[in-house]
Amino acid sequence: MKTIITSTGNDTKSQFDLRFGRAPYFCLIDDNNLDEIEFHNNYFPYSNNKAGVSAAEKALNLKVGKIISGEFGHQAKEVLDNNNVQIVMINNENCTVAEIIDRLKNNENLSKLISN
Amino acid sequence: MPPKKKLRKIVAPPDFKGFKPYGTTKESIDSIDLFYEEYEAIKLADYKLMTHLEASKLMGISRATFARIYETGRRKIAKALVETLQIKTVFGNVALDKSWYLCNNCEAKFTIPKTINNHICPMCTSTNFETTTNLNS
Repeated sequence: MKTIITSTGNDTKSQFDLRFGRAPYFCLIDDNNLDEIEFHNNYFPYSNNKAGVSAAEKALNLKVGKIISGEFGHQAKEVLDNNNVQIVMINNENCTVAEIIDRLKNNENLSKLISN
Repeated sequence: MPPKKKLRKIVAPPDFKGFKPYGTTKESIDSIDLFYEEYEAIKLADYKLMTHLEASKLMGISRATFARIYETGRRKIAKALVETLQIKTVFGNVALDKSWYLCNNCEAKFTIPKTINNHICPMCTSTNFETTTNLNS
């Protein structure tokens, strides 16, 4: 399964974007290997309407199972809900994409500890 | 100790983070926090022109409580206008939608689609979370 983190730039040092539809970049990571990081352009940050729905469709094309962002519009949420994509909202303003990936990595270590 | 506040249901949070006055000679602008439930109360009563009773039922609270929230919301906006304050919208005591879960450990909000079997918080893998509708009990 893959996860999207919305980002303001195309490297892991860039800031996490609290908006889903209008985030300039999607950071795509593989849940099985958190070091495999790709950045995808989101083409809709400047369109006037349907940014959230278009972004949701793009996310579906990338076959993601989970999206981490700050806020989702209700239309985008509907599309993602219907396609069984997990939505995660966190409201940490000023944090980088790398910091969020670190949080996810900590989880992995934790769950390994528990399973051992 | 006062009783725990019942969560107010709202349909959707406001589409903005806040309002800022412009063209002011003030050097620094303070801000006032408008809760989501106050925004929702003003929206229902003054924009959708519902009666307080109808609106209170929608939000799952009593008419008197609705009137009180509505009143504080209006006063905050009036205060912001007169004293040239920024209005910031903050979460307050609300429940958004049935399908949201709130993690008590890391404060992440998330949904759990049908296809996911292990019910853990996606950010911190804790199981200490609850649905936003059950927070009252």
